[in-house]
Amino acid sequence: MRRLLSSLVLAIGFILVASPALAQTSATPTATATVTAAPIVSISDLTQTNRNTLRAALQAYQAAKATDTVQRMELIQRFITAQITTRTTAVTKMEDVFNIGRCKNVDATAKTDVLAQLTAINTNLTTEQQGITTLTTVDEAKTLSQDVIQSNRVFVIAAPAVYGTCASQTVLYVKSSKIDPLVIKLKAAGKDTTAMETDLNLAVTDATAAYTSFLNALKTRSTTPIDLITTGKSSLTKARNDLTNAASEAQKLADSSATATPTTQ
Amino acid sequence: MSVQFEKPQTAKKIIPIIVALLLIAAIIGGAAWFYLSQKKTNTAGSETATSTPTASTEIDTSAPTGQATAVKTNLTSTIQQLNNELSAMAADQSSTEDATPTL
Repeated sequence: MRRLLSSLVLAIGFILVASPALAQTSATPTATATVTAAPIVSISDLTQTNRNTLRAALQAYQAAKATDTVQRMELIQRFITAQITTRTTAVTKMEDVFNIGRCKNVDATAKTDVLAQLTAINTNLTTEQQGITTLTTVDEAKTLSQDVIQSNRVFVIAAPAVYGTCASQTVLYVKSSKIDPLVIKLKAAGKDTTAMETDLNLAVTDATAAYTSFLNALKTRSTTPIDLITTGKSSLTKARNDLTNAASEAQKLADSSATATPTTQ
Repeated sequence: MSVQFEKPQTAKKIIPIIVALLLIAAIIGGAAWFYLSQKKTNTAGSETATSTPTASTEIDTSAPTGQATAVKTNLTSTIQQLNNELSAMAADQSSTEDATPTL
């Protein structure tokens, strides 16, 4: 009898302690919904250390005596190397966004297209790095330095373009992989999702337009006017507003469903 | 007689100790199970959130209320990401790194 009681106490204790864990592994359909977006650091901030080195190299060159051409040549070569290193680091950070970061799951074609442009920048930078060894005058070095900036435009064009392609592709990814399956379920339950879907489709249209602008900016980075980035940002802002409207419609659906079926709460 | 009497007494003392030990083991085991289960859930959440790096929460989507709530939560998270991306883009656009320096 005593053993029986002991076993009973043991069983009750175990069930009490383990029941939350059992609840966690229940077969109730769930969706992992994201709540708080992590902060996104700009490429400028991600390369701050390199930019400090670059600034120091520039100051050292500017402080060199105009008459000391040997020293000036050496210092400008160091400055160009720092320019290239800063940009190579920046490009790696941009590649990370699509390879291992927040946009690694987006459409494969988009990912390939963006990464191909970043590879092209890296190839260009490698060629420019090799060009440093063939320099014979400070004037040639000045031209190369300018080319490193102008032919790549890593910070004012490539960085916002890459972040823009990532953002616009995220809209398309979230819509197709997370929202659409839920909309199908809502429809199957007899819910009217028309208004929400209209906003979602507008978001897709605007995000697609934004992606096109950003990718074009990335492809034509050396010649493109900054307006192409502005156009992309404008479309992206529209997409964000469409999503805000869709979220409002989703809330209405949740409220009406809760009223209709209070037991689901 | 006295020897036969002491054996059950010893057993009486040991049984509560064994029960207590088993209870403690069950509590620790249950707690460990609960902890590992929670850890597994969190890991799964962060994996899903890789494309949109975020904290995550589970929503029961077996009913329309949960489905609509999950839609809203996903959209809210995406909107936040877009805002963050736009801010970072603005920071890079205002960078002076692509301005030609005085050489």
